[in-house]
Amino acid sequence: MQGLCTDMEGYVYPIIAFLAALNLVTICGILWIRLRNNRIDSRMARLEQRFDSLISEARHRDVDPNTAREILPPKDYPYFQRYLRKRISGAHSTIPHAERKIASLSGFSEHLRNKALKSVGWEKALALRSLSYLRDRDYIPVFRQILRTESHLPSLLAASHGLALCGDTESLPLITRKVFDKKSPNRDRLLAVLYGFGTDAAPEIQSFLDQEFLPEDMATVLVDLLALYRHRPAGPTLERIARTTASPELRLHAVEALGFVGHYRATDTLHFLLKDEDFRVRLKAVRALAMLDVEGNREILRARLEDENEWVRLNAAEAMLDRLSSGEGILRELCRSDSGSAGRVARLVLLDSEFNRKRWRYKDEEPAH
Amino acid sequence: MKSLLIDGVYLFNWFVLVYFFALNLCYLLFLVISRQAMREYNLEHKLAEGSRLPRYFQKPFTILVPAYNEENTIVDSVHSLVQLDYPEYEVVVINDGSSDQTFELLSRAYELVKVDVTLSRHFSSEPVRGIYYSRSYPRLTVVDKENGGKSDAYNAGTNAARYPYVCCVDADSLLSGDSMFKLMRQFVISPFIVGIGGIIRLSNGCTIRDGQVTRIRMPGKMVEKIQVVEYLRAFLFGRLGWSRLNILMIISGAFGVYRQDILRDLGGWSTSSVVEDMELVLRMQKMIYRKRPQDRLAFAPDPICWTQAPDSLKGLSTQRERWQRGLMDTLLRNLGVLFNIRYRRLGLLGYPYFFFFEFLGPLIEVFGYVIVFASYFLGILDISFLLLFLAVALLWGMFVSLCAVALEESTYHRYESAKDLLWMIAAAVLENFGYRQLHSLWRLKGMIKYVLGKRSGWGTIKRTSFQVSGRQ
Repeated sequence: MQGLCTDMEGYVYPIIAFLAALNLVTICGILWIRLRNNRIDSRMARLEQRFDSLISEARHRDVDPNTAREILPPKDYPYFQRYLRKRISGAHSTIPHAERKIASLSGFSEHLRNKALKSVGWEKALALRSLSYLRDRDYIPVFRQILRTESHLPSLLAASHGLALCGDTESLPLITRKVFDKKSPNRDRLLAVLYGFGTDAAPEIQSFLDQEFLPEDMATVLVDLLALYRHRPAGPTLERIARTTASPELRLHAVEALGFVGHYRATDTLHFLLKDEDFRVRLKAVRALAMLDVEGNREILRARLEDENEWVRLNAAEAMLDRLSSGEGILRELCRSDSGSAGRVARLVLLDSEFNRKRWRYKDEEPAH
Repeated sequence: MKSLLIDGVYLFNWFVLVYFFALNLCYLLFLVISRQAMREYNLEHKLAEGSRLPRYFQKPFTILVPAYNEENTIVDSVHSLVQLDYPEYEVVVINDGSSDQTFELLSRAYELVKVDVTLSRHFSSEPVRGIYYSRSYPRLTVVDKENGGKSDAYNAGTNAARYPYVCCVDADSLLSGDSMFKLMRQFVISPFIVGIGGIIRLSNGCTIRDGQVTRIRMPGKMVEKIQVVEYLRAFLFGRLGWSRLNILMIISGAFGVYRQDILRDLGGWSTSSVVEDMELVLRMQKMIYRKRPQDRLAFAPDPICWTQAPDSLKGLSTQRERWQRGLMDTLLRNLGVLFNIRYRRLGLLGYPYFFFFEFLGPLIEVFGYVIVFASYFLGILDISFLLLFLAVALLWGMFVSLCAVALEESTYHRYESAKDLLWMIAAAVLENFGYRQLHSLWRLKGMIKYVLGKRSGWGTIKRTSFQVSGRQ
């Protein structure tokens, strides 16, 4: 060890000097990041006012291209990109005509287009995403080109957002195939992208599901969207999936969707699924039946109050109380006469109702974008 | 005899040297992984901005809040929890036989009414005295039960949970408004995520209004300031790195969400463990590696839970002793994982790291100080080498902490005041002089207490109300 000490002394001093310098550089780096952030924030605050007034002007009258270029020079493009992200990135915003006009007059859109085509990696992805905020159908060819040629997932996502926000439903199957990547869990990304299309995409989604055998995750997302959009013509497709799929996860989603799209002919399928071994399938079938024809399925729902799974029992009781005109009476009677699991769940649900603690109704009230 | 001692000392020195390099290699690895993970997370966030998922896809959940003698914070905490921006969820507070005014304050503030409900018995717990619903907040349920410890409280609370996901939150914690949106979104990303943790930050020093943190500030005392940096280092480096490697071994009990069916398969929380969170997560990981290889546990660096840290050395030492006892207890219960190829990365990387660096670390460090004295008395101490070694260790420690501050500043930039930033930098430097050594001693004390048989209990620390702790 002593030998080692002597040997190492020669190395240790430079290591200490290096570490001390590293710490100093890190501290300077932190301070520099703070100064840079502050500078960006204060400049952004100043520019925001200018951008606001320019866009407000563009909303009401024609803007001179020179004025637009003067207020939005190339050096401020990164700030305008941030501005757009903050103001118009929401999928439900109205078409940003004024922003689009200013972007075009000032040369900002062209700059983004060039960046989207020529840069690489995240820079490309963020340029494409900014371009998508403008929802300009003129850029559909750019987005499509990226979708066909690019392999970088963020860029693919950004181009897909662009196509969705421009309403290019024709690209939906390609988007779905490209965005879906089996190696990474990206169900939410696909959902977020396809949700941007809105209800117009429902027929395309249905025909996509009809035409091809799709991987579980991909099909699940499409089924969910059909349910969200309450796309009634998709009923037979969903029923077929619920009956035939080998994937338990997909079956769950398809069963739930049957209720949401209001496919009344599916009751036989749902009765069959009430015997499924997986309690989650029985639970979804109970909900779907309650949404489709609660009066006609009164006895079946009542029988589910004796289901071996408590969540199924709870959902059946809630469905009866929520949707059946005589549901409250039935549950009250059960409270009195049944001391077993059905009576217990009836008591619980009535109590929840008394305290305004009902569950899962929100999905019924979801506006279909 | 003397020569034998000298040989032993030399052998130990070699061991320390190797240990030191291995540990710092791990830190360096985390530094690189976390930096990359954070960058990607934030760029993805930028890309996804504006594409919020519709409510249809939000999964409902139950928040479990175990409370034992939390009269100072419970009303504010519950207030912050019942007003989250989320479509469907409930809050279940479990009063674990508090001997103070916890239950009475809750009852008064939320107009609790005793209801006749029989809970399911999926998880065993001490007897429940009563279930209470709130007249003013339909989302709130209070389970009043006999004292049985935190794990027991979680088990009782899960019996009362009506939703398939349960979120554990400490009674002295506040959730930021959008944190649950961000956390629950991860379950939409992948059906294979069975548990997820968010980041814990300190509410000490922050301004809190109406149950929400409205201004983020550094706390006043140095011991709290150091803990701010410590938490940044632990969460932004450690958890993010482990999550990236898919061997997360801790999801903080103060803020974590689990799928209830997995909890049922595991039999719930173990009431005999010292720290319920790590023990549960390690059991969960073992089950994943053995039976459910597609499933995983995750960490999201963005959803925030604000919690109160001890503001005195005494409180902090109690907390850290308990954490060390818990770590030791959990690791020793699952010793079979160590270098077990069946658990792949968990057995070969995650567990050994915690075993050798987190569990044995304080023992080796304190023993190292003893060896320094022994070397001096044996006449073999090379003072200049010792000083050089200490300097390298301190400078490297500083560098790791400063990197955590840099990561925070370049990504979330939450501490807006320049003075606070300077304090953070100062804390990152100063914690290496005295605090770290003290920390090792506390942990060693925890180990000794564990060996002497002190194993369970709530391990409560003295809380102050949020109005007092925050700068108004």
